[in-house]
Amino acid sequence: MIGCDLTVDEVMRRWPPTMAVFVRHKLNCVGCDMAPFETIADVAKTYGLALDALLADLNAAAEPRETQQ
Amino acid sequence: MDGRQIPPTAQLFLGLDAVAMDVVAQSASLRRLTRGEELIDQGEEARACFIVLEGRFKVAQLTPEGHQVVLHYVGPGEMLAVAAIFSKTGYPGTATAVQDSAVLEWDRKVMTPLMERFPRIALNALETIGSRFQALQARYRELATERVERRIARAVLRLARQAGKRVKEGVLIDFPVSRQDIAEMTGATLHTVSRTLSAWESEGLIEGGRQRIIIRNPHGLVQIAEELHD
Repeated sequence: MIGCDLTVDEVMRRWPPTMAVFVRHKLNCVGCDMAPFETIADVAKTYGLALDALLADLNAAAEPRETQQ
Repeated sequence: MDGRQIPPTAQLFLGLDAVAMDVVAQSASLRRLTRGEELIDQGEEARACFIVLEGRFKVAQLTPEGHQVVLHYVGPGEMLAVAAIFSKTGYPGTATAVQDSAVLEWDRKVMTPLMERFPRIALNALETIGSRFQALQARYRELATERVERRIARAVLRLARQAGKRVKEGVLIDFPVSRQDIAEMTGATLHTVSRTLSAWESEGLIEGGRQRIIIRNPHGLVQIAEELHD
C-alpha cells in the first residue's frame, strides 16, 4: 500500500509499474535527482494535484489485482 | 581484521564471496584523516588506491595558473584512485578530506594481483570508471552549451543526490560546501555563484549559510537545471 509519506524513489523502486502513473500525469519524477527526498505528498503539493486521487492511481498501478477484485 | 572490515556497500567489491572479501580485507590498511588533510597529491606517483569508509573527499585539479577545478566528491563506499594506479602519469588530482574521514588503502602492488585473482574487482572498477566518465562527459557538455545558472543548479542537485539528507526545511547537503567549491565545480566565477545563490535564496529556492546549503524547493531547482516549465 503506497502512502503519502513514502518517497518518490522508494515508490518507483518497490512498485516499478507506478512509473507509468508519474509519466501519465506529466510529472517529471522518473529519473529526477530529488526523487529520494520528495514524498508523494510533496509531489501532489508541487504539481497542484489532489493527493487522494494520485495515491489511488499509484496504488491501482502497484497492485492491479487487488483493485480489480 | 581489526578496523579493516570492508563495508558491504563498497562498489569495488560487490559480488565477491566471503573468502575473497577476507583476502581483500587482509591486504588493506586503515587510514584516518582529519578535515582538510590531503590523502593524495596531484602528480605524485600513484602507488595506492582507496575506498572511503566514512567522511568525504574533494578531488580537484590545479591548473598551472593556480585555478582549482573540482572533479568530483567521493563518499562512503566509493573508490578513489583505482584508475590512477594504472596510469603512468601519477594521481590526476588532489584528494582532500572535507570531513573527518577514514579510508582503506591498498598498495598498487597488491591491488593488481587481487584483480587478477578476483576479476570481479576489475569489472566493478570498470563500471565505476564508466559512470564517472559519463558524468564528466555530461559536465563537459554542460560547460560547452549551457547557461551558467543551469550549470550551478545541476551542481547543487548533484551534491544533493550524493550527500543529501531530508530535513524539516528541505534537503540538506550534508557536508561543508562553499561558494568557491561550487564555482570550481561549474567553471563559473565566485562572483557569479554568489550572485546566483543569493538570488535563489531570496526566491526561497535554497537557504545558505556558511558552507551549508539547504534546498528548500527541490522542484524549483530541478526546473532550472532541466529547463522545465510547468
